[in-house]
Amino acid sequence: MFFKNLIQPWRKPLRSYYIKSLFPCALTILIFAFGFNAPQLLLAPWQKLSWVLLVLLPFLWSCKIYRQYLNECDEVERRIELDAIAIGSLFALTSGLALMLALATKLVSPTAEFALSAVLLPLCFGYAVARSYWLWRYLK
Amino acid sequence: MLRLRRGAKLLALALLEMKSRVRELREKQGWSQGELADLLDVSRQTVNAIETEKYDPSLPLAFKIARLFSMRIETIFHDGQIQ
Repeated sequence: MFFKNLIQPWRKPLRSYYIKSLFPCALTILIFAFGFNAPQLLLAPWQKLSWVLLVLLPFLWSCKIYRQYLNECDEVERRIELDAIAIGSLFALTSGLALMLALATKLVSPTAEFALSAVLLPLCFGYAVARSYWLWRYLK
Repeated sequence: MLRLRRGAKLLALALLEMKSRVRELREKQGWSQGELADLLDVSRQTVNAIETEKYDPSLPLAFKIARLFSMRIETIFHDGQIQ
């Protein structure tokens, strides 16, 4: 019943959001892959800085697409999305704070990838759990 | 005393639950939740949430529902209080 409720035919806004999100996602993967696999090409500080700023472009693009999707959602869908984002952000904030304290006490010395995953994974996990729960709750 | 009474009245208003007749009206028309959702241009979870009274629709959506069933809003949604 739980899974049956979660698997719903995608409405047009969600479908178009997923399709539109493919492009910034692919671009992010390309930029990351380039930076991590060809660091010898990023020698000068301006090259490194432009790589860092370049990553922000697809991110901002995704934000714009997400905002567009939120505007096209109906009221319950919007509520579910905003609740899920809030819970995900809370998870990410808690994990980020824990990481910061662990760094301050020199408990860990993480790499950039570790720090990124320590924030990104709780965000995605919190979002997914909260979204699934609200979808199930409103369809029960 | 007057303050207390006013407070109790405000609390009672805050605790009021909206009742909806959407399920009854939809079933009378022989529509499924999905069909009603398509007619209202909303998701099925929205229709289900309104029917199960987990969510109170916004005023525009309430008007849309009322127009679809050719009824007044207060006939479909009421707060359970007898006028």
